[in-house]
Amino acid sequence: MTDTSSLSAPPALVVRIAVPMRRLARFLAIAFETWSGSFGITVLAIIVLVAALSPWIAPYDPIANHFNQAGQLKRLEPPSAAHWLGTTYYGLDVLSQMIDGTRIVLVVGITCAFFIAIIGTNVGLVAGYYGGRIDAALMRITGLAFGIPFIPFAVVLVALLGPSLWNMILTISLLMWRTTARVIRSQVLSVRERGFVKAAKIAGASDLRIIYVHIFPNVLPMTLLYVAFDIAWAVLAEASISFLGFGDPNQVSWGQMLYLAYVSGSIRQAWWWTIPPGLGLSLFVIAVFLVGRQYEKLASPRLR
Amino acid sequence: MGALLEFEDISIVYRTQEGEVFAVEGVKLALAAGQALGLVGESGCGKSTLALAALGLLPRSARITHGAIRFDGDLISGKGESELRPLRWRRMAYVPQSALASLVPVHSIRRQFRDTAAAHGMRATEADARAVELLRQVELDRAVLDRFPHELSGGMRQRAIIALALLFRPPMLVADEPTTGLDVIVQRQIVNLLSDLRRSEGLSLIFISHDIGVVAELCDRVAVLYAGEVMEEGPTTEVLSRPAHPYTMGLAQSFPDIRAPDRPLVSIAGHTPRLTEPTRACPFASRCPFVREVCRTTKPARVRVAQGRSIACHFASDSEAMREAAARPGLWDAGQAA
Amino acid sequence: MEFLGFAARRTVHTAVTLVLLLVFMFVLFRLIPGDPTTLLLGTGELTLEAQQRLRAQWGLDQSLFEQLLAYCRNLISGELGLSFYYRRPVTEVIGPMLINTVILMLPILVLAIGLGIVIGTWLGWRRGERVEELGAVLVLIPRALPVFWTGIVLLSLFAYKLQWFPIGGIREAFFYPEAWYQNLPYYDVLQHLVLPVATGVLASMADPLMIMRTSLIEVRDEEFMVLARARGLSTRSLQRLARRSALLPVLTYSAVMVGFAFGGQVLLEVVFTWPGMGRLMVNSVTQRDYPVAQAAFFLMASVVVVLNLIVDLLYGWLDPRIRHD
Repeated sequence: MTDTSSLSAPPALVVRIAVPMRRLARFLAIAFETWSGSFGITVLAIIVLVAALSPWIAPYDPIANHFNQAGQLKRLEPPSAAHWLGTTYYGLDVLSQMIDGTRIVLVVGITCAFFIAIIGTNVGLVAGYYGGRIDAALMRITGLAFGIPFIPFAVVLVALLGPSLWNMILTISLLMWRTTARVIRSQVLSVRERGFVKAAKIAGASDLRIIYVHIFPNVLPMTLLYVAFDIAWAVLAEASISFLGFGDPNQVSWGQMLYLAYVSGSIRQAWWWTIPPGLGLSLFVIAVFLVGRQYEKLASPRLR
Repeated sequence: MGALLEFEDISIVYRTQEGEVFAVEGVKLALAAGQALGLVGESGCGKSTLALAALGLLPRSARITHGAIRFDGDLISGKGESELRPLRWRRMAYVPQSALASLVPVHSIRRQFRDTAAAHGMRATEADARAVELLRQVELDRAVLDRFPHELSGGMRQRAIIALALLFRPPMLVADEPTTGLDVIVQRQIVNLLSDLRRSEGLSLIFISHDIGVVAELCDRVAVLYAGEVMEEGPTTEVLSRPAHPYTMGLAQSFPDIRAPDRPLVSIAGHTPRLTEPTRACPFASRCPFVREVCRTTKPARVRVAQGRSIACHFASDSEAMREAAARPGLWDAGQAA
Repeated sequence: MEFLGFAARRTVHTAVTLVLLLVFMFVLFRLIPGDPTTLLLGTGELTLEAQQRLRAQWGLDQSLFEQLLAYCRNLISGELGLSFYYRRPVTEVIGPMLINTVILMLPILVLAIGLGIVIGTWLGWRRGERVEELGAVLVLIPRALPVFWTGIVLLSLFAYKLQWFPIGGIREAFFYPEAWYQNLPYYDVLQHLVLPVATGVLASMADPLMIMRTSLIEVRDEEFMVLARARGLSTRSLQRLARRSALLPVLTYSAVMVGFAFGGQVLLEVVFTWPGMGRLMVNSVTQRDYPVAQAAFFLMASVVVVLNLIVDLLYGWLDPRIRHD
């Protein structure tokens, strides 16, 4: 850490903001180092922007039915000037649904990844640090989590709790922490043997302090990396659960769009309804992977 | 001149995560047939890189940026894998530092012999026969053939790998620190073995080590490397007993001498330079007790100081005086005057 | 000798896990609001007292604990209960579905792992070259596509539009072979397998591929590879040598992969209307048919847990250092 207090000129407040901003800029710049990384982060930025501005840029209310001159429902209309991506079997505007769907993507992705990170990292930290019986117990629970096939379990849980967005997030977080836990634990196992940890122990630091002040910052890059990938997995999980018909009926999600398309027998002809949601999901996940790959090199330098 | 192996002003650069590393700069060395050349120097001085380059085994991240390497007059530095293959093991063999890491862990010793033989068209039966003969030569029992590398002791492994190297009676052997990490008794055995082999087979040897004592015993000539450049080169006895380059002087003083057991050992103050940029100065300038202004600005050329001896120093003519001064340990402890 | 101790410990560990899983699952299913009788009640088929009788008959009026004990007793004797929905023994219902699932899952796993190894080796060997960079990115694309969407896209293209393949199910109700090749045994099933297998392989191939690639890259830089090259071994021999060492992580991952595969399996079976266990499980949850849902779920989970045990044992056998766990 540079000791900025010894520099002469800039006032402290400016420095306090400028230095972290510059670091943030440099951190973000890593994503732009390759074509793939730049593509990825651009896609993510677009999705975030669309989600933020969705109430204003969606041409119609996503759940409003549309009728034609004769008062008939505009069912399964191919793309036209009025409906750029056509309409669904139920007369809804596909484009508006696509725009609205970006919100779920981000909400689910980020919230789940957040919970997964918290649960997984803490389980990994505690198990890896204490070892012995605590480790064995925690690993048994993790093993249980690994043994449970995800989608079947999610289906059961959502049936049990009811198909709401929160239940979805809960369900996903409840199982997905398992990979993060294992990875963090093995990292902790090697970090805890390092000199500075032993030194802290000898100096009398409490376990809690050692775990969170000394060990955690060293596994943080790995945690963040997995957080990134978890966002993608969580979004795919939500889409899958919604596709099976267990999604929140009050929200518009891309997975659910595909469910309705499939269940109404429309996949045969309504390509304008089936391609965009899947494409959107795919682009999002690819973008997350590409950006994640850029930062992978930070977390484990050997990969060069 | 009929040199078996020649490094012609060779420079090698590695591409790494942190940028480029200039591992070898303008090295000119030659190995004559039947000779043993020792390469000595501190870690990172480029000796292993040179060895790998001579064998055409540089990793993908390394590039030869200048100069050439010739084996028996034939240019090998530009050759591709398929052109090098006929030479490999038949004409030049490699004895690596760690036999445990270098032998295929899941193959028996017999299998290692057979695979090597098969790659060059020798039949399995002939390979087995040769293997038994070679193992005897390195004083190993034929039972070793059916062992796995991790089942043998360090010394046995090293001898086995030397036996393997001799499979096709190659004229040249490149040994990279073959005795490092072994206990002194085993070291002695390996050194004796190599000595005997040189005599009986007329083997030419490039012997890399940071242990001057072993080099002194085994090698006719020695080249002292520092930061990827040759500092001094000449007949071993001459170079070590009457060093002409300040670095060699410091090195020679840092090893215990049995003739003067009470002489305090020297350690050269400072550390080796980072090789991330090519320099125009003498690489030893930052640690040399005799440094002058010109050393920091111009790279010294290799000059002859005697028959078959050369050093890279601006003050080659003063080597006599420097040697006397170097004999005083106080000179080295002081480091450089500001 | 120490391996036996290790194996014993691991097996016990697994057995405990299975029991925990069973209890956990049992309770979970019982917590789902409503029971099969409420569904029937809704259709007007049952009077209230008839419902009480049915519940008693199916043991639904006993306490949770008593139900669990009864279930365990039955489980040990191989009795999985009666399907509430089909009114047939669960084993009869699940049996054929299980076979259908295996028919779909096995080719997907074999092909995904096989192709993953082959392409992963090819890519890993060309590390640093442009084609490798490109390949690594390209491979991630099928992985990112939601598997059910890929299925839908392939269906609309190859089944609906081009009509090369049937749109779903495992066989036609009435199959009349026309061309000569259609007389080959199981042709009908094979024809139905193509699209779902292609979809599954596309999605599952990326993980073993990337693991093989990374593993190969690491192995290539190991010292024994340097000496092997020095000995003059041919490129083919070098590749074979590298591949053998690099294979282990892939094989151990394969077992774990089966666990993830079940999730994908459910989605595939739904999209392609494949009469397998995954689809059965989802439907039975909706129908509150717990014996079936439970048995299907427990079956899948057991397969995963047992496979993990096998992998652990394999690891312990191959790497003696692990045996002290």
